[in-house]
Parts: sequence; C-alpha cells; structure tokens
Amino acid sequence: MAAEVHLRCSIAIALFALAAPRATAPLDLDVGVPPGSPTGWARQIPVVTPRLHPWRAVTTRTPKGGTVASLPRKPVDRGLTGVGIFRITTPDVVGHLEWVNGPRTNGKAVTGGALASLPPVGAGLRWVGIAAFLRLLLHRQQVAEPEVVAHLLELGEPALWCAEAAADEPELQETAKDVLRRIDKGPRGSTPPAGASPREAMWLRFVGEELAAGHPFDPEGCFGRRLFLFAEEVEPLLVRWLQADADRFVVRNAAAALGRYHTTTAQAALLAAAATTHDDVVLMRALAALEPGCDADPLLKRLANTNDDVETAALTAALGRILATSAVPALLDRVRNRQDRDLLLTTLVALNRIAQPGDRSGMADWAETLCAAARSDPGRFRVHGPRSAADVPDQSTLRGETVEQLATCLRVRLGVAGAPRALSALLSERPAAHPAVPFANEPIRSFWPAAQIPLLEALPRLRQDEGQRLLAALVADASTDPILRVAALCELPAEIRDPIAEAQAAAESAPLELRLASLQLLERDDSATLGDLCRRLWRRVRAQARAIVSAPQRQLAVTALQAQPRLEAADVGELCTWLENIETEPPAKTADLVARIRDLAATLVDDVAEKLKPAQVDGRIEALVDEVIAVHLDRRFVPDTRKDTVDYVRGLLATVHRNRNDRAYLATVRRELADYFAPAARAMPREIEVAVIAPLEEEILFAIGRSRTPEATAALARQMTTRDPLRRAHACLAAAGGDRTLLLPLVHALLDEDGFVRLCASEALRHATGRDVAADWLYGALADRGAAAQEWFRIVAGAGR
Amino acid sequence: VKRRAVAAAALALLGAACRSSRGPSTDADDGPPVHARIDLPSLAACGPCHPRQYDEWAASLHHRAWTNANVREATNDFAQEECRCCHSPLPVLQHSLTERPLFRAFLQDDGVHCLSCHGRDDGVAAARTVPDAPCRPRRDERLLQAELCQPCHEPTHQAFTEYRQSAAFTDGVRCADCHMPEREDGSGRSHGPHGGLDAAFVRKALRWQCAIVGGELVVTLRNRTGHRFPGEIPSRSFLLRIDIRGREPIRELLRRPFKGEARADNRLGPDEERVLRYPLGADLAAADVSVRLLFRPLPMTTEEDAFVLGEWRGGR
Repeated sequence: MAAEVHLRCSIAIALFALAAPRATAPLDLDVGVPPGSPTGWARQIPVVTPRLHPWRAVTTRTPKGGTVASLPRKPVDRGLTGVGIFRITTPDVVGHLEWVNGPRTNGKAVTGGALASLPPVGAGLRWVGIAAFLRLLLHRQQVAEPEVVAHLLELGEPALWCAEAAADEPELQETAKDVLRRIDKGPRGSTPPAGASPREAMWLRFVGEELAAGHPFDPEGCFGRRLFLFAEEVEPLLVRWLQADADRFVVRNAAAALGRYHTTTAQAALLAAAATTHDDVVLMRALAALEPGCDADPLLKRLANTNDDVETAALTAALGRILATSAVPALLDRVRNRQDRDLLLTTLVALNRIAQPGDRSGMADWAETLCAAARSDPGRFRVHGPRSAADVPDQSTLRGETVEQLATCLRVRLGVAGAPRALSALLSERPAAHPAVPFANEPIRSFWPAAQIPLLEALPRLRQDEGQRLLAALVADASTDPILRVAALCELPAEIRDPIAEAQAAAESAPLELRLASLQLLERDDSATLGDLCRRLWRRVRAQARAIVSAPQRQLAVTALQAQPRLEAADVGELCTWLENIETEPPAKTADLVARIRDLAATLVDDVAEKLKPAQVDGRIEALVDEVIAVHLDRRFVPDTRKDTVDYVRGLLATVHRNRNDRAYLATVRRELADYFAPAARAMPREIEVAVIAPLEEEILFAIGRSRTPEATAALARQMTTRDPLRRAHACLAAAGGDRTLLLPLVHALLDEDGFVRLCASEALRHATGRDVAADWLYGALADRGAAAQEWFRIVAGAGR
Repeated sequence: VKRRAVAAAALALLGAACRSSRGPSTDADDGPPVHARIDLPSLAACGPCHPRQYDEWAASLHHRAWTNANVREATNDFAQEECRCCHSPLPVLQHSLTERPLFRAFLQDDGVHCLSCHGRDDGVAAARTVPDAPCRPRRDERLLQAELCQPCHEPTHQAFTEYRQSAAFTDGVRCADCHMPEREDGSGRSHGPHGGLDAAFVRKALRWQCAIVGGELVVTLRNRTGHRFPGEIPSRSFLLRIDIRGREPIRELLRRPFKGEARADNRLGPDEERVLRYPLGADLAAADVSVRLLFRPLPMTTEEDAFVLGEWRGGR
C-alpha cells in the first residue's frame, strides 16, 4: 500500500499574524506573502486526510512470498497548522478596504448569495480567499497573477464569496470577475454514479453525501472526517464520482478528496481528469495533487493546446511538481516565446524543481542570461498591475531581484561552476528586510517569498557543509517563519536532522508546526529514540488530567500516538483511564469554552460563599486557573502568569464569604470573575480564531484497539455504548483488531440508531471474521437490517463455540 | 519637601510590596485598614460598600487598562515597560501629579484601581469628609482637578497638552466635567465609561454641518472636545463617508497613526473647525448626495457596526 498521510490539525490561528516583525514595519495597510508559490498555498491549510495507520491490520508481502505486518511510511507534508495562510498584518483592514466586509455574513459563516445552496463557509476559509486577493492588490510584484487565480480556483466555491467581495475593489475587478466566471462555467451534471450491487449503491451514496457535506479546504470544517476512516474502500468510489456527470460541487470535491491520497489509483484518476476536464476547479485541484513519477505527456499535450494564462501557470507548476524532465524543452520554448513576466516566475520555480546536474537543454545558459539581465536592469522585469495601496509598496526592482535569485538557485541545481559562490554572494550582499516578508531574518532575508523554498532546496549544493550549516541555523532561529524552519529541516540529511528534530519536538517553546514535522521526520527516519519521545509527550498531555486539553497539545498527542503505533501495557492503562474521564469530545468552538469557563467561575464563587472552608479555597482557585490555562482561551493565561492570576482571583474572592448574604454583591463577583476569564461578548475583536478538531479521542481508541490487552478490551466495550455516536463508531472500528469477546458487542452495534455506527460495526465484523452479510446498514429498512444482524449473531455465536 | 514625599511614596510602595508578597488577605484575616487595601482588587476592597461606583468603574476602560486586548497588542503584552505604570498605577496622590505614577507590580489585572485615584496616606480622597466611615474619606479638592489625570494621560497620549490649548482649559472646564458627569439623581459623579466606547457620549464630541454650495458639497466639522478628536489612541477613528450617485464612495479617515505607521495625524485639533469641500459636477442633484459621519471605537469595527454620529441627505 502506498504511503498514506493522516494529518489533522487543531490550532487556534491568529488571523492577524502580528508575530511579523513590528518594530520597524508600518502597521498600516499591508499583507504578508507566504513562502513558495501561490499554487502551493492551499497545501498549507490544515485538512483531514486518509489515515496513516488504518484501523485494521495492514500486511506487506515479503520477498519470500509471505506476509508481514507493516506500517506505511508517510512523506512529510508542509503546512500542518495553517500558520502560513493568514498573514493579514493590518489590524484595521476593514477600515481601509470596505470590500473586505463583502457580502454580509450570518454570524461567522457565509450562508447567502452564490453559496446559498451549499454548506456554510467558515471565517477561516473566507480569510484565506480574501488574503489571496489582498496579496494581489498590495504585492503584485511578488506574485504571479495567474497563479493566484489558480489558487482561488483550487479553493472552489468558497472563492465565489471572496471574488464577489473583491469585485467591489476597482483594481481587482477584472480578476475577481474572471474567478467568478471560471468557477461558474463548469459543467452542471445531474447523474450520480449507479452501484452495481446494493452494497456498492450504499457506499456510493454515502461517499456522495460526505462529499457534499462541506468545503474541502475549510480549516474549521471536518470535510472527509468519516470518509477517510475507510480510505481504501472509498478510493475507487471517489474515482467513480470524479468521472461521473454528477453535481459539479460533488465532482469537484471528489477531485479534492482524491488529491489527499498518494496512491497510483488516485494519481491515475487525477491525471486523467487533468488531461480532459473542462472544469477549471477540477483541473486546478487535480494538477495541485499530482506527484513525482506522474506521466507528463498528457499535461504537455494540454499545455501545447492552451493559450489560457491560468491554465498555463497551473500546468507549468504541476510539471515542476512531478519533476518532469521531459517537459523542460517545452517550458523553455514557451517562456522564451511569450515574454510573459508572470510566466517567467512560474517557469523558474518549476524548473528549479526539475533541474539536475548534466542537463543539456540549454537551461544553464538561459539562467545565466537571466541572471545578467536581472542584475544589470532589475526594473525591466517589473509587472504592471493594480496600483498598490500598501504603505510600503514593492519596489520596482523586486521582481527583477526575485528572477535573479531564482535563476541563481537554478544554476546551483544544475551544477554550474561558480554558481554556489554567486548564491553565497546573493545571500550576504542584500540585507533587504521588507515589511511584507513575515519573519524576515538572516540568512534568507534578502530572498523574496517566491525564491525562498527554491533557495532552501539549493542550499545543500553549496560548497562543503556551508549549506547544511545555514539550514541548521535556520531551523534553530526562533524568529524564522515556521514554514521555512520545517522546510529547512527537511533538507538536512537524516544523520544531522534527527538530533535537531528530537530537540525541536520536545521543546515546549518551538512552534507546533515544527514539532509536528519533527515527529514525522523521526518516524520516517526510523529513529530509535522516537518511542521514548512520544511517551514523554503523551505524559505531558496526560499530566494535565483534564477533560479539555489545549489544541496544540492535542495535536501533538495525536501525532505522537500515530508515530508510536505499538504501545506498552502501562501506556494502554493510562490511555484507557484518560479516555474514560472524558464524556464527549471537547468543544472546538470558542463559544463553548467561554460558556464552560463562565459556569465554572460562577460555581466557584457560590462555593466560596457557602461551602468551602478557607483551607479549601486556594485549591479550588488553582484548579480553575489551571483549567483556564489548559484551554488556551486567552493568551493572558499561561503557565508564566499562573501565580499572578491565582493571586488576583484570590483577591476577588477575599470578601465573598464575609458578604455571603449580600446577593447583589455575590452576583457582581460572579459576573466579574466570569468576565475576567471569559468575557461573554468579546468587545475587542482583535483576532478571529480558527479552531479545527484534533481527533485525540479517535487516535486513543485506535491505539487501544491495537494493543489487544484485557484492559483495552473492557474499555472498548464500554466506549461502544457511550453517548457520542462518533465515539461509538470509532470504538467499533477499534474493536476490529481486538479480542474476540468484542464481536458480540459489535453485533449489538449493528442495531444502533446512528447509521454510521452501524456501518462501522459491520465493517469491523467483516474484517474481524473474514465473513460478510449483505445489507444496507446505512439506509436500508429496519426489517432487512434486523435479519442481517440476526445472521451476524449466528456467525459470531458459531465462532465463539 | 519633595525628598520627603518621594521617601513616603517609597515606603508606601515597600509596604504594598510586602503585603503583596504575602498574597491578598482572605475573609479570615483582618489585614490593614480599608483605605490601604490596594493589595485587594477593587471588587473586594471597595465593591461591598460602593456597588454603584464599582459597577460603573467595572464597565470602564480604567478597569480594563491592563487586560484589554488592544493595549496588550500595542504594548506587546507590556514588554514596553514604560506603559506599565499608567496601566497599573499605585495611588497618584501619594506620589506626584506631575510625574508618571509608580507601577503597581501586583494585581495588575485590576488596571486603574479605585485607590489609584482615591488613595491617600491617611484615608481616601473624596468629595466630603466622613469621619466614621471605615475607609476614612477625606475631602480632597484635587480629585476633580484636571491635573489628577495628567500623570497618566500625559505625555504618552498628549491629552493634557491638547487640553491646555483648548477653550475648555481657559473656561475652567475640567476632564471630570465631561468624562465623569454628575448623576441625574444628584448622587454624585458617575464613574462610568464616558469615553470612546459610549456612542451617545461620542455624539456630543462633534458639531457638523453639510451643505451644497456652488456645485460643491461642503462639510463642516467642529471638534467640541478639549482634546483632539478622535482622542488619544490610534485604534479609534472617525470616518466621513460620502456617497454620490454614480461615483465610488468617498471616505475620509481621521485617525492618529500607530507607532511606526506612515501616515499623518489628521485628527481634528481641540476646538478646530475644519471645512471639507467636494466638487459635485453640474449634472448632479442635491438628492444624489448623502453623508454619513461614523466613529469606529475599535480597529476592526466595520462601517456597519460603527457609531453613527450623523447622517445627511441632500435635497431634504
């Protein structure tokens, strides 16, 4: 089985990335441009992907013909937390650009206009699209417009909302209309794929419903959460939906879902779609998902037949991503003939990926000519576009400098003599920090965003170990953009990066992005210390001993559990205890947390007034403060401020008991304490938080299921009857690899009121017994399902005997 | 005399710090006299006896001087140390009315504590002396003087400098006369949030007039406050929106620049009358023009949610 990725992220993302250097940067209208090219921006959005470690046993054939239990290794995905997608550095952007308010929203979600019939769009996804338009408006020299349009098309229908808003900005009107037209022009089919059997029909319907239930790039949504639990079963059905003449929202989402697989089946289907589709959204999603090793010919044919700038940019970027050496002559011809400065940028990035030493296509000469031209007259590469409204607009030489940087990296990758020296000189000669470059720093501060990733990939080719030293310094530099730190870590050889990764994964102060990637790298490198490290990380989470653990801690624990699939008996006991202390999954939304903390605060005041003895008060106060710190509701409440917070609360409550008969006073104290921790109405909308569920409980259940200890069996049986249907469903799947005594509870779960629980129970039984009983567990009539469940009972009872 | 005053303030500070190091008292212990209980939050120290004043103060920015998100962002969580002393001050009357206050390094979350303004060595500054009250109220004329506000609102926010250039200063109108008005029931002065977050209050700050004269829209704005408008901090802004049929809306944003921001301070000066003119063209009728005067109390307040200070439509 090809490598699968299961990356789910839970992080509160500050919309306004004010971590950007503020000491010198003007705070007025500006927006940051993430590293890399716009066709890669969507990869930085945290999304649900097919599970890395399936819930059932996976075996691999050995060279001798037998099978052995195996676990797939996954590539490291950049962009685990979405830190790169929100870089709007203007606190009052709505005061500068009215269109950002755009069509009105219903609470936090867009529900009207062009999206009226579709699932609501969360604030996070809305800002992703707005940020893309803002970058085009404010930093046209840094981004190729066709690539930005391709990115918006990849976002799909939610970009309609952003484009409708941006159409009110005169400088963006044409682009916005182009985006609206392209998203709207796709084919409108209405024929869903038909199943050949009742089982296939059930699965097809289930897949279609899941695809229609959300937007694939919504960081707050759970698109594919249930779908990807059955990654292998669902994959061919996704292909069917992609190829069907069905509702285009579902077809487009099928392309996005398939894009999260790394299998040959998915790649073949996406390549076929990319070669033939007339829908721009499907095209962009398919192209963005293609991987190295993919056949370049269909893409080259499409490239030869198109004059569309956006399609050309996306195809060029895709050819670079699949490392298509055969595409080099075509790409060079096209860029030479067109004199298109945006295409030049796109092509340079693509060729930087493809280039290898010994190339005979003339790339080196071309790059050298570009370097000379860009150095002698950088202003000639300037592109004309919207008049930038940024306080510090891009200089006219910026595009020329970017071209020189990319061409120099290209020459380094081609092994041109003297090129490494030229790259070193570029790195040292221009300390050109720019407010639009978030986390600008040495040694890559002189490199503009489009050239930053190619630079990191070229650094290992520098003389001796100079490049490695630079990369290691970057990883260690806390002021560097976490995305670049992750990218730098990936470029280091395993023997150097593993100790660094271990240190970063364990460091509380390191950004979550880097810690998660470090764990993944250690797993990929089969690090001997990974087990201990994961166990330490897990214990830190457990030590909080609370129902709600902070989002970053949860995500870290998920990754740690995934990286350490086989648990020791002691670990299983801890996991079971921890899991059973949690009633349901913790609320992901801030509003729920606010309500909960306010309740706890009010209860504390009442208890201090009436119940608690003086000696008990401090303990209760500390418990509440710990709770508040754990949920990360407000950045004021962190371990460093714990003592001050406890002192303050102790002060607030100091005269409560004495005034316990004064109802008005008690009401005031209740309100004040609740407002202190969690204001009911946030009067200061400084930032918008995007919260995504980190499936910690799900991961714990699967980890328990794999352990097969008696304690785990008992815990799973209990979880199969819990109130939360998703928890019951996960428990059923986890039971598939567990003890035989769990078979009977699984049969009972076949009659669960929730269809998804029934489906999971039947699949678990199928994998546990090797038998099957046909029924439509999701949508079938109760009588039919009852008969099938009866049949399962007979099978299981027989197995028991 | 000044040395003695500094020494007394230092002693008071030391005493407060010592108390702080023991932590706030509880119901169980007696602690120091009530007028010195700056080691307790305002709620516990003053709230039980002065609930009305407490509720008013609790809704104000003085209460949130240390905790509100804007100031924490602007000061990088008070990494800018010079900001701390005014956002968590020890009693100004025990220190100086011409220098910045001393920093209260404990219970900062209480912001500008009741005793930051009222605290004296021998009791609390008050409108009248009440000999037998537990907090020892002492009549203190300084409480209503504009100079009481100076230590915190000058020099960083320049409010006092602006005030001294205003007609209010020459007329003897004090800060408290507008920002702490007498309650209608005659029960003293309000401690409430009479500032930039109070829409009705802000509406009084501006006198305005719109007219179409000689093919031009003429908007006249007059600042009625004793300081610049919008006052003090850059997160507040005044937005004049003019809609003319067939044209893009015109927006004039008056705001103080953030630190390091590349824009001019185009706010209205104290008592300033500013006349803004916008050519309309011969083909437009008066009814084609409308004006909205908006105040955005927070940086991210949208136009839709801004305080409407006035609306005008031509031809009516």
